[in-house]
Amino acid sequence: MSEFSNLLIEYFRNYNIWFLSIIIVLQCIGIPTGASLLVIASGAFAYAGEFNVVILLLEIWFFSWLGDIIAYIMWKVIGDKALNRQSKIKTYFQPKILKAKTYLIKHGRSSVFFSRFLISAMGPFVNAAAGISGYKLWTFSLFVALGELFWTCIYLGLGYWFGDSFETIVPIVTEFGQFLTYIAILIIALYFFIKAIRNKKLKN
Amino acid sequence: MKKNVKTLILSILIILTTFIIIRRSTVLLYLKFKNVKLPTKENRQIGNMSTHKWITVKDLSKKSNISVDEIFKNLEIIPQNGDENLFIEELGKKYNKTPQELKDNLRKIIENNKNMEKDKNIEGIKHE
Repeated sequence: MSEFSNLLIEYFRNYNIWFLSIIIVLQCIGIPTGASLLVIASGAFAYAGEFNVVILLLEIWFFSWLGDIIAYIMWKVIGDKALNRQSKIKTYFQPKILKAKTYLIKHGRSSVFFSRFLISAMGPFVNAAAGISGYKLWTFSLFVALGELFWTCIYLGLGYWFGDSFETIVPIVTEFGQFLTYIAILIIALYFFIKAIRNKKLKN
Repeated sequence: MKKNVKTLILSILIILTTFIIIRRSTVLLYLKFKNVKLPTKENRQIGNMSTHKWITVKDLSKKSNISVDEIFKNLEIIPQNGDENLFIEELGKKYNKTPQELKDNLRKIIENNKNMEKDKNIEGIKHE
């Protein structure tokens, strides 16, 4: 494991859940902090008898939900302020925000749900889009809670299952996450590619 | 160059690069998956010291009901003041112990603890 990972675990051992909660909230806002690694590690420590696994699960679940809600509110405030400050920005971004809003009305639930655990790298972007476009907070909050429950169970469960050998699974989990992100990028790129071809055909 | 042509070229580039990255990471992931040893009861308790190196002697003493001195004896360390609050990894570095030595000594402590609990259970059954 890297020096940074060791440092994270050392702080986690010294400050327990409070450090973990800050790391989780920051990750939800969009700052890569290595929360997944710490959650796996905390699962392993729970297996070693250092924490109660059920209480830990509830705490991690709550803080990841809270982090997403903070990110949503933060982007909502930033979006409103930036749009109201300058009319140029407003006229440029308004159609894009409307587009995002229509997309979220159609696919918002699944986007929010799957971006919590399947393509977690997309999570902060979905939070930003939902906040700026003013997606319903209640629906966002509900699907965030469901998705984060999956995320918590997967990562905490992996740590608990591997116990004292949890370091062997960390690189695989990290690479698997990257792999899913690449696939998501490929799908998005293909979507824009097909769209560009269609537009060209229509113009011709 | 028209906007659409630019988008087409960029899209093709993104698709090709991502495709190559995905192919490479699929192979690497497959190889790593193949090499993973599924957890057993033994390596969950003492595997590659992933959790044990982050436990202090004081915590270990509380957890396994063994005195701090006994643990230091098992770890073959003559402690200084405050050493009981150091993580096992830090202790290893301080007293030049290899991870393998620490692992073997910790295994002894855990096995002794297990045997003691077994004995207690057997005695309990006998008394009943």
